Amino acid sequence: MRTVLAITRKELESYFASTIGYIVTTLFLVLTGIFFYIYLVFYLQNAQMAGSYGGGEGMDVAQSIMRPLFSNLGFFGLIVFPLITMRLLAEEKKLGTYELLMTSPVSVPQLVIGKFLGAVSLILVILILTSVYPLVLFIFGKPDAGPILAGYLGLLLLSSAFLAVGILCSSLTENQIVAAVLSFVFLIVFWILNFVTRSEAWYGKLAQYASIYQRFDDFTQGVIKVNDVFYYVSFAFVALFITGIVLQSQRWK
Amino acid sequence: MIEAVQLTKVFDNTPALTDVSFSVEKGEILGFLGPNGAGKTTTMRILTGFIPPTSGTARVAGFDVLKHSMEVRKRIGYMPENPPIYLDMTVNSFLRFIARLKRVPKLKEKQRIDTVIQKCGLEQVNRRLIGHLSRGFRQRVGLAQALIQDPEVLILDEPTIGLDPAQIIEIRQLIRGLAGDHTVILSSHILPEVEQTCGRVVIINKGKIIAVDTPEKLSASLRGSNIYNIVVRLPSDELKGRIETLPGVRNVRHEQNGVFIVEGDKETDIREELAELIVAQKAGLLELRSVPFTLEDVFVHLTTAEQPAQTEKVVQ
Repeated sequence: MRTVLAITRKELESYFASTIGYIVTTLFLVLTGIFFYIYLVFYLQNAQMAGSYGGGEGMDVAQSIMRPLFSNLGFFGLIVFPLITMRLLAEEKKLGTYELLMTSPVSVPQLVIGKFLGAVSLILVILILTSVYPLVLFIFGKPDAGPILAGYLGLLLLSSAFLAVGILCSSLTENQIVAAVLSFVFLIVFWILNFVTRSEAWYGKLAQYASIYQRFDDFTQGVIKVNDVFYYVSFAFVALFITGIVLQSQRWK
Repeated sequence: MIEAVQLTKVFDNTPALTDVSFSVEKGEILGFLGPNGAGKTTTMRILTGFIPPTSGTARVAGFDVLKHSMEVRKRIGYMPENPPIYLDMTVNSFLRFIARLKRVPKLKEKQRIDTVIQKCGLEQVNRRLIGHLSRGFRQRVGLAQALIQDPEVLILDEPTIGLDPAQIIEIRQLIRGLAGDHTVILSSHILPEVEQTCGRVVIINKGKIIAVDTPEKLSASLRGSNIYNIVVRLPSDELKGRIETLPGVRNVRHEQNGVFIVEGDKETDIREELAELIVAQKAGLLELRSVPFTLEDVFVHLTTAEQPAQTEKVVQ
């Protein structure tokens, strides 16, 4: 466990020792800020209009502002996740430090989990920083906390699944750019799957089952389903498991 | 301490190592000598468990490198050819990270880091980013990393490459100081280095071991004669003739400007007779010394013996 945490800590430190951590965090916060502002203004306009006709008290802040915002955050992930994971294993191989890790008493699962937790903790830091936006809502209004917390949980699970895929892509190459492009393509496929779910045909149903974003939508509505959580966790697990197999098999080449 | 039995490694049908067997006793420094691409790094990678051998076995401290990889890894410090360092970490934080990976007990962590920093002369740079350090310092960080858990076995791949002469001497002294407590394998293609630091030498070429012995014995076994280098102020053909008639002299060559190369019998030392003769001739003796047969000669001799075979392969 100490080994895993040592790797996690090193990863988190090196995100902020290099520029990538700051770039990713800034990008995420700025984009979130812009969209938060837009949705807030929309909401206020609508509320004002509704108010002038009498009523409008029933309008839900969480549903009107936070739900679309969460969807957007999930989308920003498409760009941000590959940037976070691209270096994790590819860089080690390029620098030759992979040889150091693999001749230290570190098992492949320990390495993969350590790296994964490093990436997840960066996302966790970013998510905590984005909480200033809903905090504003809590200061000036009384939004329903449930859906917001559920949304964050969903976002964290979604991130975990995609970061795991990113690590898998990073294990396949020595080149960070290739790793980033690979995981971007992978994420885009899942994004497109989201549109297929609208179809009524059998593939629509199938896509609905497989789509990462579709399940995420439940969370933003404040619904936490056990099978959704299970889906994300097993998705991440499978991706990390394959990463482990890839790394083991590369030794035998 | 280290035992390799018939290690063979094949990369894509190209054999990199063929039937390499050797053993290293506890506390010994073994030198791996060979030209570039001879299989030194491959051997070391197998010993560290980084790559598995195609066939054959290797044991480190009694543990098989494949079956008990973790036990082996706990006991070795390894410095690959390119120092494995993270450029965006400081020396201190890098060593702390490695100490944790190598399972240095938490209580000992600080003490071990301080020890290796001091041993490797990194005191002035321990707070700086490794990426900002010169090649020589990076090399030392690589060595510090290998020493961090005070390993029983040290495997150093070209430890002095890229260092300046003063640093090379320092690192060699450091390595020599490790003998006794640690078992060391180091590879090099620089002969004096191996000659000066190692108790025993393995000469490897094209994936095969061609000689294993102490540096002295290797030289002695190949030495067929004693060579003397003489410099006189007034060279003459008469002097050359007189030297040739001395008992025990096989051959005399007059190089230029009064430099004579004398080849004598292996068994007898004729320096005294040579000196007396030249002084008696009033030739103005400036210098007389016995030329040691260096490992360099052994190396060239052994690695070029297969030369014809090699060229044939290239032609094919």
